[in-house]
Amino acid sequence: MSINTLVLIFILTLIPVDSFSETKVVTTLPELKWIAQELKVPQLETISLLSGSEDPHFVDASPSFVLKIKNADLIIVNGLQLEMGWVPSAIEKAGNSKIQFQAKGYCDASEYVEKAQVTPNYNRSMGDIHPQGNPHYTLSLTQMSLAAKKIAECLSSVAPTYQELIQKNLSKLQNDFSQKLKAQKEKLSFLSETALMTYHLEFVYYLKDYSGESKGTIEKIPGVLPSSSHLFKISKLAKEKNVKLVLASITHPRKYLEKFRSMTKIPFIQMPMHLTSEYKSYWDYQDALAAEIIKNVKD
Amino acid sequence: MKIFLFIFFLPSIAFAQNPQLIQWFAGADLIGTGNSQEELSNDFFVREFELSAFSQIDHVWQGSLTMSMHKDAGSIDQPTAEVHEAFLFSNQAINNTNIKIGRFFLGFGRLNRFHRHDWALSEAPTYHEEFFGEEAVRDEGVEISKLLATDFYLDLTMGITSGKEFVHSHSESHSEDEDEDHETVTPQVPTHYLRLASFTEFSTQRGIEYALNYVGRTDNAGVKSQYIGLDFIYKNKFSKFYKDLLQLEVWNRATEEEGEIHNDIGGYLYYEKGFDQNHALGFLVDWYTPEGAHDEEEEEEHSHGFEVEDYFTEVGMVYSYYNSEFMRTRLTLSHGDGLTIDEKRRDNTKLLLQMVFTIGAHPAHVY
Repeated sequence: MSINTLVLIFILTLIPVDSFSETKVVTTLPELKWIAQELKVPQLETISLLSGSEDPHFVDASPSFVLKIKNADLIIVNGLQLEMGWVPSAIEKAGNSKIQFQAKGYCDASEYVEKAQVTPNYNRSMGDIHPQGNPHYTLSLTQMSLAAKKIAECLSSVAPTYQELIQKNLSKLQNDFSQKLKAQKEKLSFLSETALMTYHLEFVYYLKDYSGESKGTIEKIPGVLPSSSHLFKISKLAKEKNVKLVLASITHPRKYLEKFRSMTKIPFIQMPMHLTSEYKSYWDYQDALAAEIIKNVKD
Repeated sequence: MKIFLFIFFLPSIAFAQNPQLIQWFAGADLIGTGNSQEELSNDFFVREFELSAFSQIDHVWQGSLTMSMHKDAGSIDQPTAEVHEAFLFSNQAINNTNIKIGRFFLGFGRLNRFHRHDWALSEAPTYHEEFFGEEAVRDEGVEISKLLATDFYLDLTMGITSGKEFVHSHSESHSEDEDEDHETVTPQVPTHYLRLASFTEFSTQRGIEYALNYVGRTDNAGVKSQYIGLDFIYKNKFSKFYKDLLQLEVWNRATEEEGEIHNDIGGYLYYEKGFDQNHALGFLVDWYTPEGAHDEEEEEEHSHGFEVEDYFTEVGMVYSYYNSEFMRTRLTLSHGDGLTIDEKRRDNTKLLLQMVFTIGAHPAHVY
């Protein structure tokens, strides 16, 4: 193969053959895709990069993600550095100028979220901390309503023709969030007086919706597997605080949760932290999560 | 060394102005070796130290600068700082295209595209060392990587570099007779290469990337080398760790000199099974077969000076302890068997300890 052949191949690859009539929106998380769909913008193609069963902190920048975003008009990310290990490199590789960081097509859904656990003085000895705030807000109905506001702004920006429609659908969606929160509060009001623990820090915003809080985490340091001595200490604390349940993600190591249960007799539940295909909608997912908590605390 | 010191002290200046302006990364690679062959050195040393700065230059271009210091096992020479990479990068100049201009690791194969501290292996496989050096071929030139307009993932990388430097040996490159080394003299045909990669997804966490590679170069003495290789990686990730990681490369080098062609074939296979985010066990096979059997005299006269005369195979078990995302400790027990010209690695059982740590902001890799 000669250098001339290589140059010819390169020139041929530069000929653009892509054309899309629809507005293509790619989200990192399926619940963000669900919001985009609920805003009901005509001619909107929505794709979620993740299926909801992954731990979005630690996904690899798969070439399939690059393929999905190479022609996207808008990328919607959870933000607060949740996807910092893979979204920047996928965007870089895709070479799509529309969705570069701070371009019109880059949408950080966390902009209006009321950030919890902001840690400005951060260093790596603190483990997997997100200095800009805890990124796990999509479990919270309150915060998802605020994320919807940002997503609506982003959609209006890339599909300005439908701005009024988007605003109208946002109002309806935010009303639905309020109604759902009201209904969930009736079911989960006991959480404000029930001692719970979590494996990691995913439930901070969720518990806040119901005036509850975690009494501690099974992890000593975020992202680090718990040592035996820490399990012993946290078990003692759980008994002292009369903890009823441990909340965890399906991606957390089950053996440590089982060990904790054998030490304390406190049950745990492992749920997907994001909207997976087993749920019809985000409302359905919220119902399932609430039902699982109720079953394990009240039974 | 002056440049190195300047870059080392630059962070305080840059951060004083704007902490977001430049991202810094530093990493080190510690190696301990123990060999059953008495003539091979047993050592514990810092093999590599790297300091890197990268940032957006303007709205189109990014800049990346990396200085490094390397040392070889048993060497008593003080390592010298060198420019590892210094390149401009843009993914916005042309749609769906990445462009690199400057000095960089050439974008072919699997190992050659990554810095050694990011490898799944502690050392280069034999064929890789013979073909591309202890770490990777790096050179000055231009590289363009284009996502083709297909419904499936198809990424074409092409590059042309000066070809003045090809197989990079840290000990050789700083030797006094560097200018006499034919590898650093202007070649008749510069290094040119191509990588066509595709990907099959099984799930968001599980997939295979595979690529066909071509590298060509004719050196100053008229020796034409053409390399054709396949690289393949399978990943099955769960949360923080790989349940399964399978990596494979197979390469053929055809060397043509005065009408005579030699074909040398080599490759490696590495499989790693992760048990949790801390522990993984791996299995390594490394093989290299230069064409035919050559007598020592012929080998010594050969301009490429094959180290392996006939064949070389190495089989190893690897235990990796991932202390965290930013540090790992790896222990490799391997046995190599082969006929080598200098008998450097013949029938040798080796225990290799590697510790890698990084601080600062490491640029993320695609798959």
